[in-house]
Parts: sequence; C-alpha cells; structure tokens
Amino acid sequence: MGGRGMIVSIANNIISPLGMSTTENYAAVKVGQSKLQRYEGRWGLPEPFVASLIDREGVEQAFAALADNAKYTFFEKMLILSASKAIAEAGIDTSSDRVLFVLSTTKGNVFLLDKRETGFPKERVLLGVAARQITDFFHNPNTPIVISNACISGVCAQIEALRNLESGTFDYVVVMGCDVQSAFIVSGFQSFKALSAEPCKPFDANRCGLNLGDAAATIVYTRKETAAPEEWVACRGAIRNDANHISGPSRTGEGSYRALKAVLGDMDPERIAFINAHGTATLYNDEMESVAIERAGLAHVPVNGLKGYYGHTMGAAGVLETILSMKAIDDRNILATRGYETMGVTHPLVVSNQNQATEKRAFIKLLSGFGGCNAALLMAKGGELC
Amino acid sequence: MLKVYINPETVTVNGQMLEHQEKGSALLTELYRKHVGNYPKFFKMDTLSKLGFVASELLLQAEGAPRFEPREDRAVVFFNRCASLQADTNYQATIQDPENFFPSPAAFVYTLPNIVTGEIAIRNKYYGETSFLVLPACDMQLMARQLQNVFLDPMTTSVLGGWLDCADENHFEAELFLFEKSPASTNQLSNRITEQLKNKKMDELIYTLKQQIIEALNLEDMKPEDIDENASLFGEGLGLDSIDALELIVLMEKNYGIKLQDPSQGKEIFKSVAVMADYIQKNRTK
Repeated sequence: MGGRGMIVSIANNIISPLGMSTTENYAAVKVGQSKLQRYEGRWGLPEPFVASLIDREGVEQAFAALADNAKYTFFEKMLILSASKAIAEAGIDTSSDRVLFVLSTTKGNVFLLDKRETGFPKERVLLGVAARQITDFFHNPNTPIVISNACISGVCAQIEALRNLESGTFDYVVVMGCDVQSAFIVSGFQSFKALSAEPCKPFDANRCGLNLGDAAATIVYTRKETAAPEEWVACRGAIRNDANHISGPSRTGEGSYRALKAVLGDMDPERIAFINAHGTATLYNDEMESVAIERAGLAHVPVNGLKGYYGHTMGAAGVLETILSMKAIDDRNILATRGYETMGVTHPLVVSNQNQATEKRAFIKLLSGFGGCNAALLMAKGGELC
Repeated sequence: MLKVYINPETVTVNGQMLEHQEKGSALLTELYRKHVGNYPKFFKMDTLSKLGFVASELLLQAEGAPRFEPREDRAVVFFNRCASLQADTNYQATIQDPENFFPSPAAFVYTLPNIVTGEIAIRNKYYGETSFLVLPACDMQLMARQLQNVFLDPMTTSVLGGWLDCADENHFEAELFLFEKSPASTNQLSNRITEQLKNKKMDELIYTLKQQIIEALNLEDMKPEDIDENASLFGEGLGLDSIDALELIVLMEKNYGIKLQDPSQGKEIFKSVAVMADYIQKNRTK
C-alpha cells in the first residue's frame, strides 16, 4: 500500500434476527444458533419457504428511540439503526463533508412497487433516493453511492470505501449493507428453483439450495499512516467477471479464481486463517467456489460459510460476513459452517465443520453473484501482512 | 477517449449523429440490426441491457481494436438513477395478482442492474472488474472521480463506463466512455464535467429567474414550469407590456447588479428567459 497509509476498520455493527449488535451476533453464531425457520402463507405467498426473518416489531421499538417510525420504511430503519450504532462507536461527525456513505443493496425498498403499498412516496423505490433518507438522517452533505452489484455488493462497497480513502477524497467512509425480504424477492428465488425447503447446507453432499435472510450491517473505515497490532486493515479487494453466463456460475470458477489471485498477490497462503466463502448452498455456486479455490492454490486453507446461520442476506452479506470473520479472528477462532456435514464438492476443500482455534491473523472474504460477478477482499489484523 | 450517447431520439458516436428511423426501444433494435446483428441473446434482454449492449458495441466499433479476445485489464462500470426499475416493474406485474400469480424467472433475472455488465463481459470475454453504482441523480463529477478510482486496481488499464439509465422503454439515456489509464483521458473526462456543470448552473439560473419574474410581475397562478424559457416574453409569449419591461430592468439591477442604461437594450435582452439568463451569466456583478 506504500505511502497511501492503511485502510482501517474503526467500528461496526450487525442488526439481524440473531441480535442488535456485533457482540450478540458473534456470540449466537459461535454457539451455533440460527433463526432459519419455515414460513407458510407469509406475505400471501402460495408456497412455503425457509428464511431468517427479523422480528419487525422489535426493530420498530428500538427505532422509536431514534426517530418517528412512520417516516421511514422498514429497510431504511434497519440501515439507520445499524449505522447509528457503528457511527456512535466510531465517534465521528457525519455532518462533515469528509465523510462518505456507501450503501450496498440489491432490492432496497422494492416492496413499494406492490400496488397495495401506499404508505410512502413511490420515488423511495429508487435506491439513491432511499440512500438519501439515510444521509439526510445523519446530516451528511455528500451524495451517497449505492452499489447494486447483485450478491457481491457488500464486498464491492468496501472496495469503493478503500478507493475513496486511498485517493484521499474522504477521511471516513460508512459502509452499510442491507436487504429485507419481501414477496418480490422470495417469489423470484422460488421461480428460479433456488430455495431449499430446509435450513441450507453449504458445501454439503445433500445441499439443495439457499435460504434468504434479513440483515443490516455497517463498517466505518478510515485511513491511518500505520495500524496498531489490534486494528483490522482492509488490504485490497478485487472484482472479476466470469464472462460466461448471466445467472449460472462458471464451471472453471473463472471470476472467483481471478479475484482470489488478485487479492492474494505474493502473500504466503500459510498466513491465511480461512477463506470465508459465499457458500450459498446451491449446487452450482458451492461447486464453482471449490474449483476457484483449488485453482488459486488455496485448497488446503480452511473454508467456512455463514449462510447456515443467517440465510443469504444479499446486500448485507458481504459486510456482515466480513464483520463476523474479523470477530472470529479476534477470538482466535475459525467459525463452523452450520449445516455442513459431508464433503459435497468435487474439488475437496477443508470446510470448517466446528469452531477451531487459530493464531493466524488474516482472512479472505469471497462472494459471487448474478451477472457473472465475483469479488474477494483480503483483511489482515495489524496490517503487516498487507 | 471515445464517447457514445443514446436517448430515445438521438444517437451520437464521438459527437457525430448516427442516422436512424425509429424511436424508443425500437431504436435500440434498429441499431442492433444495422450495426451489430447475429447475437440472438439481444432479444432476451431488458431495455437497460439492450441499451448498454448497443452503446458498448458502437463504442468498441469506434475503437476499431481486435474484438473478442479474452482480457482482464478492461473494466465495465456503469452508473444510473433507476437501477433495474423497468425489469422490477415487469416482474412485479407477474406477482401482483394473487389469482394470476406466475412469477417469471426470465423477468426476475433482470431485476439486478449489474446484469448488463455481465452481458457485455460475456459478449467481449472481459474477465476484468464489472460494477454498477446507483446515484440519487446524474452527477458527472462524482462519476468521473469513481471512474478514475477504478484504476486503483493495478490490473485495470482501460474502462468502458459511464451513465446508463432506463426508467421504461421510452425513457432512457446512455452516455458511455471508453478511456485508457492516462492523464489525457482524465483531462477529457474533466472537460466533460465542466460542460455539464455549466449546463446545470444555467438550468438553475433559468429556474430562479422564472421565479423572480413571476414574483416581480405578480404573475399569480403561474409556476416556473409554465414558462417556456425560449418563448418570447412580450407579445404572443407571456404577453408582457412596457411597464413590465421597466420592472425587469429593476429586477436585473436588484438581483444581479446589472444596470441597463439604455432601455432600448432591453428589447434584445428581454427576448426570452433563456436570452436573459445568458446575458445575466455574462454580465452579473452579484
């Protein structure tokens, strides 16, 4: 990173069915909890589905302390709640023009397209307009940037933060990720036959699809000359395309392989505690990741996936999973892959099936998504490995 | 730096108008048939993807470099306001009615704006970065900064990117650039920004001026939107008279510090709001 200094994570938060803080979430995941459950007749959907949905009343009660519930959509409330907690922890003044907000989401307020929804102006369905609600709440003068890059958005938003800090344009970037489930999203994934009728099983021989989940997560990044040994540094990220198919993963793991190679650089893979994979538990995604990881020479590095705890939280996933991976290494732990029992990909990986100790201080977050996109992010504690 | 501009009625490649008959989404199909062809996937795409596909084809043809060779050093990065609104609306229609509930997978796949970046990557075998950013409104300055930042990935040496927005099949706009990692490209992009900022400033001035005219002349019931900035202020247009003209002279001095010594000057300057705004822009002292 040379003279550019280091991009350091200074605060974070997760709001999910497993808790309203990072600490609560990590504690729940460590003991194997999940709120994945079966829903029948939810939102009038004819087919049942398994998902990790948040208690909306609980969120509204917490939100009442911040602002008027009637003024914000549920999606916006989740974001404001999560961001407020991280911003308070970071102790930054968001009314400064040196602070940028980057939002990762795929579908935002898409529920507003339903003709029966009349509570909010239809304009709020536009992602930038929704993002403005958030920056206005925090009195931030800058135009917010929304990354809508399918399921890799959460890592792309962090890469966007890195670049805006490296280039010196801003001093702080608040990276927020959120998606909330709705009839729109669930029926769409059902039409794709991508949903599992039971809690998902990433990388498992009997995996049969993904689950969806609600979550919001926030990381505040800043640039420092050097990082303290206990501080987390975002070393580098990369986004690569499969150039293969708009919805099907590449059989050669092309984009994920190239993204992994790019973030690895000349770093010794022995220094990496684990790869936190996308691991959606669809047949093709997990298989593709195994090909990419093997091609990148990382087949011996432990791999874990967190979708068995939260389902696929879409725009939140990249942020949420990065935070939990940082927490795990802080706890000298490699988290178990909930739902995984038997190796079910043709290029065998070392899938972590129970919590295990580690002294290593770096990990790679890997994601892939529709549109053939893939992203990887290398995070290291202390930054000497960057 | 190469540039392509497309809206439902106009197509330009590096500033040169491209001839066509059709309008709206039919224009995109016409461009595809005339300038691309032999890529049936085009017909499955939503309007946003068709727009990005056709615009990128025109750009790459203008570049004239060998095509379809795998490469990882070119990024595809788009910005817009509506994300995938048209596809979202189309998909919603398939689930709106509980009595006729048939969610369409073909419609759902396009409910992500970045699908178009994938379409272009597939067509051209681009393994590099692909990304889609959504903004509250078109902001060239912000866009140019983020596009320059794409080069912070050391793999990337050129970017195919810019504004790519589609509200529905009759409302869309593409302004795409192809540029290399070089100071010259940076300059050209910043010139384009200056031009847009100038236009934006002019639009704002025209709007403010309309508000001031309405207030000064007590044009009750009129809103700025009701005044055509190119219509004549006197006679057939707004129908102002000579006393109104004197009032406008006061307005010019009060708000912009412009003193018109000779009332006959007013004839030229008060031709239309647009002419007035132009004069103010050049002569204002406050």
